[in-house]
Amino acid sequence: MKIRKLLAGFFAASLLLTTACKDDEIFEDVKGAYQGGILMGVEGGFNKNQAEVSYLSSDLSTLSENIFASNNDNQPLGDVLQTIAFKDDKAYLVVNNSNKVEVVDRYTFKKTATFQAEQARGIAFAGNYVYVTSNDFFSTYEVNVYNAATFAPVKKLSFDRYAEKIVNVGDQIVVQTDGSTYEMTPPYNEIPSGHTITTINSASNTVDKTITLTDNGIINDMISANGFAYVLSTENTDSYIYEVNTRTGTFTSSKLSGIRASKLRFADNKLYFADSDGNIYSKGTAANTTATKLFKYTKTAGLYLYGLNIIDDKVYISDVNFNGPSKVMIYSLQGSLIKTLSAGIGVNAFYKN
Amino acid sequence: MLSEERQIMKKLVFALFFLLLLNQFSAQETLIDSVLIDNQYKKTSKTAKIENINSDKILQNSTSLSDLLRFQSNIYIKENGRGATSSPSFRGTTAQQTAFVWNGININSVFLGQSDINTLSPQSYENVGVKYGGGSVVYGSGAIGGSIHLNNVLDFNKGFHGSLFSEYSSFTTINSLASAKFSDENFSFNFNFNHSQSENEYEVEEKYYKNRNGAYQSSAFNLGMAYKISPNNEIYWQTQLYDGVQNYALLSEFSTPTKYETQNFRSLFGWKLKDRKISNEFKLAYLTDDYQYFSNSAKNDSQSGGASEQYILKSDFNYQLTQKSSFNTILEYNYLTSESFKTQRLPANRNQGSIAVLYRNNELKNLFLELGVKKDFVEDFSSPYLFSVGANYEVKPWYQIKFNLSKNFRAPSFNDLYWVQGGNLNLKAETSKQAELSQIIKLKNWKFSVTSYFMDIKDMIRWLPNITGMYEASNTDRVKSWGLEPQIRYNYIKNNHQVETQISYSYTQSTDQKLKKQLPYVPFHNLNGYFSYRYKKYQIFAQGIWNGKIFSDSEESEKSALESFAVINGGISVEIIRGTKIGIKVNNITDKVYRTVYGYYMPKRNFAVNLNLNF
Repeated sequence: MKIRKLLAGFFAASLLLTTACKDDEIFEDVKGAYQGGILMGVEGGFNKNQAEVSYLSSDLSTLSENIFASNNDNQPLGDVLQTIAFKDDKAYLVVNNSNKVEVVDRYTFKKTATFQAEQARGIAFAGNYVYVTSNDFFSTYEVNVYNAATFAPVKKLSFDRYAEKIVNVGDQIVVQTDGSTYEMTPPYNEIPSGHTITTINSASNTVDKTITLTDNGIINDMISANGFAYVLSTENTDSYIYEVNTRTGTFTSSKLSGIRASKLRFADNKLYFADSDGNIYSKGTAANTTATKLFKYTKTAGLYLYGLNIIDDKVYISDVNFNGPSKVMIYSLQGSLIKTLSAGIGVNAFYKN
Repeated sequence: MLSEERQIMKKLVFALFFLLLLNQFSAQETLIDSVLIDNQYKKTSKTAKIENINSDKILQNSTSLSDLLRFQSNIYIKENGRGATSSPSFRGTTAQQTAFVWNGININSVFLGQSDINTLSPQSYENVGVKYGGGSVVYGSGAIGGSIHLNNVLDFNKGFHGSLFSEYSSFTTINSLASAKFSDENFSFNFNFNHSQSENEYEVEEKYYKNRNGAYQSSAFNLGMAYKISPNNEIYWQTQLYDGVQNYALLSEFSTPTKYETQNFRSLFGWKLKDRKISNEFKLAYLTDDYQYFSNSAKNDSQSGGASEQYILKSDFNYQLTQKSSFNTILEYNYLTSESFKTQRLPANRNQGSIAVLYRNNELKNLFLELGVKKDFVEDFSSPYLFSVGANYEVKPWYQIKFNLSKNFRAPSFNDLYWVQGGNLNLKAETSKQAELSQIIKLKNWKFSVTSYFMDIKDMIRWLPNITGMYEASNTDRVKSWGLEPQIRYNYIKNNHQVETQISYSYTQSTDQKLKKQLPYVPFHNLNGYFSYRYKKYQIFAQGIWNGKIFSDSEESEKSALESFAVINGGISVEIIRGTKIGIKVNNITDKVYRTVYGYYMPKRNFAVNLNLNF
């Protein structure tokens, strides 16, 4: 009986093996356990050294948590994972309150390098350099330039008010150099620090252009797509999306009337964003296209939308409160709920790997 | 005749012996003959569960008040690494629901509504009292889960006593204390200076944890004086000056170093007037509480902070109706003023006052009764009527029951009210209703007690994201707690042998009524034990705690849970010459890896040597 079972098992295994071999001929080599599928950034509670990364298989069936620790001798990743960016086969994990960037193989999550980056916020790549924004929200607003091979610091560019999102548009680096600040006197309202984004020439690592946007809102997101930088700025009732030609410094803008938008995303040649009520919208990239409301996600009481991305026609949303595990919801573009997961503390982003 | 005299003598000797025994029974109960500045403290202990921690145990835990409370009470202490920010979780309540009381005066931070335990030096006090359960009628805002009493003593007729204590321990830690006391018939003087400092660099390799930048130091200066003007008049004055710096431990080798500085000045002047039927104690207190936080220790301009000042006028009037019943009226006026710099908090002043009336009756031989009502008047928001009912019934000489019922409150802190954005001027006070029953059995050298309690906390203030995603203070939560606290004590004295043992266990269930989950950082199980054996000049002692699994978030999630842990400390001391003791102590003997808050680990095995001179 036992032998029969064993044989059956062996047979099944060899079958699987053959299928796998066949797949290999069609697809690329398997580079690691985390190839394909979704990576989730787990921010972790402040001062808890709780930052991590989770992996969700592409068929959404398997969630692997703590993939940094489990592939690196149980070392903690650090405190407050701000963002993850990818270049070639490496993932760069920006750990804000640990003042560092961990470089790992994006498919195996084995650590390959660590470099220091004060109060790091965002990361971008161009040529032989790595660019990291540093913002302590009181006196340091910088872009630190590192050698892409050795991660030795190369240069520091300082700004007056802000340094937050950073992207590359071709070989140009674009920095969000304004965001929000607070009035110096009561009632300490949140106000825009200014309305600029700044481009950096990656050959000389000098400031190229400072581009001033035309609304009175607070810049709250910036992405790179289609050879443009797209900037989202939000006023009390309306929002604006700018399509910026970073070479010339010219832009077109479109107004989103009555929408307090946040979290600008790009997928499949379309822009996506959310509003404070939990509605998800899509919009064409051209200035004259109007935004379409796709659906409203079911908010859990007292929580709010924290991470958002659109990957392969699915909308990934994390509902976060930092008092417990995050709730991750995966919707179709039409708004039907495909899957709900309980994930780490403060899931703040989803990336296709 | 002779035989009668003998009989009397025998009785006397027996009584004396018995008294002596009682007195020695537990050093924790010897407070009876010392004069605490806080005149309500002993009255309160009649109907509530109170544990007194004496100077011996204070010196055995000289590193911090956190250590002292962790090992000598059932309070769960959340410490962000040794010596850093530390707060209590008392009977399943939040840090703001424990009142820290300095000589009868509530000293919780005006801004935070709580105290950082590691900015309160235990060596400054002759007695540290832990009062379990609510006590807002006498001790004000925050006395919900319980209160910690930091008591100084001003005695008369005790002559001169000086002591020097110095301890050197692992991680370059030095704790020292110098104190001098003098008292005659009419005059009492008490001086104490203590200093504590540590480089505090330790490592927990298993968890890749290094306590980098964890250095701290603090100094406290205490001066107390009392003078009996006439048999019916006495004045006293107690003052404390405290200065401390805590560097906060860094979680990564690249993290930005931060630090926190604290300065406190506390001064209390009192005048006791005593007549046959009436007595009055008039108190005048001035307290300041200043802090500076550096978000980057290297940059002076990264500093932000706050300063508060409090003026307190208090009159504690007692009218003896009969020999065994009395009315006690406590009137208090308090003016609070605060300012903040580089902090988004509105400057605020507050006038507040309260009237409390307590009636105490001991007419029935075995029954002591106490009824209390209190109304606070706090500018800008309404506070509830409070009450307390307490009873102490001595069923048999060896069996005693204590019961109390009370309503307590916690006023919103200045951060809850005036922080921008998110502070909420429409907040109400948190209120709690509590019932507690203690049963105490004393048999020869044994003492058994079981305390059970129930608490219902309403309008608990929480900072939660509002509709626009911004954090805002609101009166949302409701928490119900209950618990069971059995305790066994055994003390034995014969010839030169002296044994003192105590084991306390607490079961705590504290449930958020919306989530139906245990509150964060409330262990269900807590066990602590103390053992000491003294023979002539030698003493050996051990203390230990065990905590069950602790959830660090509000949803009881396993991924954020802290492992259960057991930690044992032990030490020996020898009196080498009269009045001179040397001691050795080993902390965390079994080298356990443990943490009391999520991100920060506590030290593994470490050592201390100390010298104690008494003259």
